[in-house]
Amino acid sequence: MTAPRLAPPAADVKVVEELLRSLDKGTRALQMYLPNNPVYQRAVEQMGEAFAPVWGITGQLILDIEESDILWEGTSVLSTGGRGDGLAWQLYKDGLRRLTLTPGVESEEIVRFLEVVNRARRLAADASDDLLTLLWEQEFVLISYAFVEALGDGIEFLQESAVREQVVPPGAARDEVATARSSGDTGLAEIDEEDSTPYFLDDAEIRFIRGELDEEYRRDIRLAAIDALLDILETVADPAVRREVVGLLEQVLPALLATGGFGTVAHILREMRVINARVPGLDQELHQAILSFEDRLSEPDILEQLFRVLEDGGVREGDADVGAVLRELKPAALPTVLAHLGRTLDPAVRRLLGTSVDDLVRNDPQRLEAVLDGPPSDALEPALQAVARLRLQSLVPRVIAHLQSPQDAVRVAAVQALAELATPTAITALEGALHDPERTVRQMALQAVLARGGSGGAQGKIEHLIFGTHELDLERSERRALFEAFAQVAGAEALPRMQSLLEPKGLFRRSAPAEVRACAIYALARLRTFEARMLVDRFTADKEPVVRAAANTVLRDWAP
Amino acid sequence: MSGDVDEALVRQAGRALLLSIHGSARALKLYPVENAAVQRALDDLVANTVAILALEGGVEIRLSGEFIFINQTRLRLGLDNFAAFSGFVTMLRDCGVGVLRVEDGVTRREWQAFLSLIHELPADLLPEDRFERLQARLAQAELVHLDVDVGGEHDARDEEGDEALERAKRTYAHGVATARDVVNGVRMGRAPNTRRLKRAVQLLVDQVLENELSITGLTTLRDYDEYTFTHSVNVCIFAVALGRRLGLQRRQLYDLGLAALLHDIGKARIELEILNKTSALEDTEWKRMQAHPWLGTLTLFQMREGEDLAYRSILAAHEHHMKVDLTGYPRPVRPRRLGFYSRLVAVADGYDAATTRRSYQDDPWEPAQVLREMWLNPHRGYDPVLVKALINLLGMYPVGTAVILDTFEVAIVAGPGTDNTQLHRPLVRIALDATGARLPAPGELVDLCQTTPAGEYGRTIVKVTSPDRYGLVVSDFFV
Repeated sequence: MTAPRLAPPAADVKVVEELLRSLDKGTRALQMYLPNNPVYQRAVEQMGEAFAPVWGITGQLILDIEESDILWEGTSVLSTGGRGDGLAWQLYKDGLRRLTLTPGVESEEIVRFLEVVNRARRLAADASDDLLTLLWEQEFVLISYAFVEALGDGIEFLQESAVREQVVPPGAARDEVATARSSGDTGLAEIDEEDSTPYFLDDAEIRFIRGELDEEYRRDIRLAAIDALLDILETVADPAVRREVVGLLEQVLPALLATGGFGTVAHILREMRVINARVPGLDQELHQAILSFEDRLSEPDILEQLFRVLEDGGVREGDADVGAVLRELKPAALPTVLAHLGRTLDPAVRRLLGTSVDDLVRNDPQRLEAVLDGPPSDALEPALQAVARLRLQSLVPRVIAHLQSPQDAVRVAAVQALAELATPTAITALEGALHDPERTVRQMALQAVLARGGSGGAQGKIEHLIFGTHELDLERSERRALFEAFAQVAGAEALPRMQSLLEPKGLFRRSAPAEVRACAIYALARLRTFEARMLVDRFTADKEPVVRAAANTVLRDWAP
Repeated sequence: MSGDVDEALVRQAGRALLLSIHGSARALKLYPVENAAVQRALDDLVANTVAILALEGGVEIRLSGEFIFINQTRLRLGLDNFAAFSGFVTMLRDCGVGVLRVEDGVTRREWQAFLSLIHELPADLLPEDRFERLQARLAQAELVHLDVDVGGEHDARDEEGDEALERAKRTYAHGVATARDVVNGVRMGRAPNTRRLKRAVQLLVDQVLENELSITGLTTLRDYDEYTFTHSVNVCIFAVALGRRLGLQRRQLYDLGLAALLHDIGKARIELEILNKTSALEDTEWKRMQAHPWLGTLTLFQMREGEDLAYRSILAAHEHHMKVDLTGYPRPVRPRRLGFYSRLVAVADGYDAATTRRSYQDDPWEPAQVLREMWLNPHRGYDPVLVKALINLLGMYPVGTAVILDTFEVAIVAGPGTDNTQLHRPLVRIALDATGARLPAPGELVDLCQTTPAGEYGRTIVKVTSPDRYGLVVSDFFV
């Protein structure tokens, strides 16, 4: 009978316990913080430090994993007491039963190992991966493990993780010899190179294999797989199979968009149209299914995927694939595209979507009308901008309606649109906007009215703003602009009105505020008549400094 | 009764006995003895014991390397009972037991006591210590009709080799069980367990990397009834082994292995009457069979989970019968270049399919013939460089080929020879001596590269032959 295993010395156990505590704590730190966080970095450092004394007592650390404990040499060195988030259970639950760590593991592999443990922790119960499949992908050199694998009939067997074998590419030895020969290496043995069998790959074939392998991982396998589906759709006459294919393509669409497969999406849509046209006797139901597939791209949930990818992925200017997909949108997509255009801050995305909007509107202007007539939304502003950009004069009445919008931004967009369109109806409406409660709206309306010369109503409205009673809070620059505008539209009529402000007559005359009188000076400058000049001249020595300054400024630029 | 019939009966009775020992042990482990499941298991065990004792009088179950003998008869393992056999072997080996003797008159009580004693042995003792304790307890319990022994001498090297082969078998059986699970799941419209699939491929890749020879030997286990599943695993093994030879890295081997394992998944949507038909297929049936690649495409697209879509597997399923010049099936409409992995899978698939007896192929080609045909006949549509690489991997006489030597012995090729520049001189196991007498499996292992002191080769292959001609079951030499 062999002697029972002796328990290790208590001092050694303490060293290993310290390491396991550090690893358990480290796992949590790695889970909660990012690599650039000092807490994360400190945890990694501490784990590394805890390994050093362990290598002083053993050349290889072999740990047995149980549900709530991790054992070394039969002694528990970490007990997590049934804690579901404890390191022991996280390893045990997916089948890990033994972990072997080798010196050097602390420099990088242990952190990678624990990060994988954390990734596995976050997996859903029905995920296609677990701790073991994730560990396999890591190809650890200094970590090996044993795990249970179910064979069936209730049988489980313990399997060791494979030691990573260095895979030597074909021709590596030949390359080495060729290099040695060309460098005149005297260590080469003198041997006859006799390849006695035709079944060994020659250099050209080895190069061919390497090239093929590179190409395998370079080519667009997704597109090739999609083409397989499209071939099936085209060549298999069974309607049930065709419906299945269309269903699969519909399901794949969001995933393609989410991963930026825009070119593939555009390819699918083009090929679907080709199939629809090329395949004789396609049944009506399938024909409709293919058409409705095209419509699918334009549905809000699919478009949101597309927009998310555009915003996250960074759109490159002139990205042909993105443009190709956007060109496939149906008019029904317009409201969704407009809404996103109203929200996005990315200039490249704005340009792409703007082009798309223009295309969609040209195809079906009624969709734009529907947006304009609809309830307030993020789509409204860009819709108004589109009206202007595309010079859709027939939509002026609808734009005018939005001058009454409770949203300042919408009224601004409406004014901009009307200013661009500049029809007589638009200009008349803009005159009404001169009294808008929002300053930006008033200013833009004023500029637009002046640029177009205004209509008969403009003078009266401006006059009311200057001389009338209202609740609008006109700040200095706006007031001046109004005075100048009044002079522009009223012409010679403005002179006596300005004079009455500058030189009030009558028993109960009261001077206008200095700022107003200064504005009157600027208005006179717009008239550019001899009389106006003579009047301004009288105020170069006005007791009010702001009036004096205005007069002198104006006269400086006014040749006699 | 003739010797062959006797042997078959003993094999059948022996298998039933082992399965019922394992079943009873398991039941006793899970439930109290009075539980109905335990009682039923013990009833079966008693019945099977009586049956085999009626044939043989007394029974000696002996573990010898990776083989199990019932008296002088070696049991052939099948995939349907491998798990239970593996469990039985593990149970005995863990107690250091190499021999279990069962004598006429053994009672139900004795079986129950024996299995309970095994179950109660402390887990932390070494096997030899557990054996000592078991023997002592058997004596105490006065179990006179059951006896154990340690078995024959086994050197450490053999044990290591046995353990390696055992691992290979487990991995192979696990792969087949997974393939069965996936295919049956597709037939029943059930989503497959993708995680289990991944694990199976990872294990197969690791097994090829660790001990390629042991697992390629298992591809000779050409199971007639489980063809679909064993074929998928075999193609996976050959493809991964070939990929490894071509320098693919581990992750690439996984991609390739997954594609290979799933390449025929479309057959799960082909009617069983067509798949299992023993006579030639009608035109419509053949056309239906030719649909399995694109049916595989549809199946794999359905199988994806979110974005975890193994496109390479889809392409291998779709393209593996297309031929390099695209004149195969299905015919592509859109421009297509046959993928590298698809070509690899096609080569592995072609080789395994042609060398397996199937419902309609009673006389499969010999492995060497298949390789020659793949190499010499471009109309078969295989990538010639990959065929060359396959020959390089398997040798001119692949594992499992039956050959006649210049000594007129008949042998089974067991692996590549020690000189890998001499592909025509593999390792062989002598199955029949020069007089034609059958030698006990697995037979003497001979390296045809070995020369005599005079510098001449001791033995040389003169002809490939059919194992059936000599009544040889190739897998007996590997499983």
